[in-house]
Amino acid sequence: MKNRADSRSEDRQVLLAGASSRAQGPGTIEARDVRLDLFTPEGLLRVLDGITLSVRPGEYVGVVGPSGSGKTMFLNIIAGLEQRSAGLLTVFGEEPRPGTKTVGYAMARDGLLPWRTAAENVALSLEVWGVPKAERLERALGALDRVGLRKFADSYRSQLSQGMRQRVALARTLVANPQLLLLDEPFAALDAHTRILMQEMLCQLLEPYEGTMFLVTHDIPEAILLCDRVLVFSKRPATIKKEFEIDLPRPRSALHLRSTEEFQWWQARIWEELAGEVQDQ
Amino acid sequence: MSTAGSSGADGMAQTVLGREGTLSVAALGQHSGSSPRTGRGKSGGVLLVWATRIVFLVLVVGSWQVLTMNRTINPAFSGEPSQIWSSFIQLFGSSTLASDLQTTMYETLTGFAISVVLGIVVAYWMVRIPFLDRTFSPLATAANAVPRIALMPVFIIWFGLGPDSKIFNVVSFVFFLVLINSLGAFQQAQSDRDLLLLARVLGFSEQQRMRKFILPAAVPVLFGTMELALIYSFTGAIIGEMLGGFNGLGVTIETDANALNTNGYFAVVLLVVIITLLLVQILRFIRRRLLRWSTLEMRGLQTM
Repeated sequence: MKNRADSRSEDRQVLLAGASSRAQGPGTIEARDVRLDLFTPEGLLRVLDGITLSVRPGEYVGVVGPSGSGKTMFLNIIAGLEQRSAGLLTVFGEEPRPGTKTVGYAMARDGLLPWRTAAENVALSLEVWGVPKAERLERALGALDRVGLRKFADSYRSQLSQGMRQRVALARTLVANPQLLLLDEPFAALDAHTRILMQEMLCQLLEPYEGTMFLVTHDIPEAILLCDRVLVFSKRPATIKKEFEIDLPRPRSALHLRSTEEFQWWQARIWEELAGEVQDQ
Repeated sequence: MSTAGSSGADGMAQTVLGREGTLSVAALGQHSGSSPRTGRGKSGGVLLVWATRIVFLVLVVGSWQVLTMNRTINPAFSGEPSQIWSSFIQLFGSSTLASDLQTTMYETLTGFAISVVLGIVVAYWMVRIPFLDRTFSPLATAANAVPRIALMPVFIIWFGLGPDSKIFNVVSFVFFLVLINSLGAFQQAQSDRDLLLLARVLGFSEQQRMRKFILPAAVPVLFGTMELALIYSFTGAIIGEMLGGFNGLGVTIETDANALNTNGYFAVVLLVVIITLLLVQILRFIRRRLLRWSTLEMRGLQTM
């Protein structure tokens, strides 16, 4: 079991070696003893209590944890949207800040602008960076193609189903070819069936992807399916309670994997860790 | 709701399983399949609505006509629909109509344009700079509470009996209406938390956020406001003319009313209503052309 995981990450290292030398350097995300305290009317609230973590280049890491445990807060700190109270955190060796081309962030809700077509929504970030119009359109169509929605490039939000909207949002995140993908419960707003299909699609999209992914989710199967490593956050104040190296072979497919014994074994183990945290609430 | 969800899921299944490009046909078919159905239901409703509307108007105008013809009410005070109609036709032969119309339209449209541009620009900066909003919002509300008709004599003293005093009157009416409505529209667009997060994620500057998120989101409300503004601009111009002016539709209305020429009086009022409706229709036409997305969103709401 362990060997398979190692060989996979070696494959990935080989893939990355051509692109950059980061593979040998420090992690894409380096967090040391990150703390977050929030001021609330009831007083000081400790949300994160010393998170230490290193995400290797090309690694897919998922976080599960009870609601309100600060998973999304931690993601937002990585994205540079939230300021940590203490500790060290670097992304690509630098202080995190929002709006960089190297980091793509997908929100739980699609956040599509209703007055823009799908293609115009996807091109939004390129517009801010001053990419010329023709190139914007070309790249937007390319990104829509990757999520299977090229034919809907001229559709408005109201003409798309919920699942399609979320795919357009994903294309908007992918269009800049980010080297780090931050996903905040990307499919939480979808119904159960659509969510499974979306997970399958993301799984296929991630297969050739050479960058790093950091996923926050409530959905244990989603974390197992997509990630190489799953972290379980404790309830607030959150610490990393447990780490699991998911050594399931790739390429993975949700439709087949879900019924395997191995998958269910992982699910049971992670739930075992999580259940204690959730029950006490 | 549930059908929409499952059609989305079907579209997904196509994408995932057959990646070659057959994917959107099924989903498209289902989408276009649902909209003509609602369209047909709507057109049946439209017919009934128009029939009821016409019957209602015929009843109101018909009973007005009958009541004046058998002298239940005195046509000298109420006018008589058939006479109003012939006065209305005669209006187009009158030598003064062209200049009256020109004066009133000039006052209305100039006042309207000044108010809309000024109102939206001031609202934009009040939203952009919260200090301005905090300082001047209560003052705008207070200024809007001033009975502007009472100020018209002062405007005439300041700007004379010509069109200038009427334009000022229109702006004093309509500017605050546009300002307060635009402020509301911008503030609502501002409070969408998903879009706020998205703007931060993409690293938008304050100006980019205003231009790409807040302004476009407010445009449908701004169009609604302009419609109201147009109607109030007409009212402001005509009231101004009635209180004192050289010419204009308001002057004609005032003269007819003083001479107890009730039919002529109503004929001019009818003309004003028709012109206003025409302008409103033009505005709605522009809105439909510019805001196809908004129309689609509304239709979406109806089908749900």
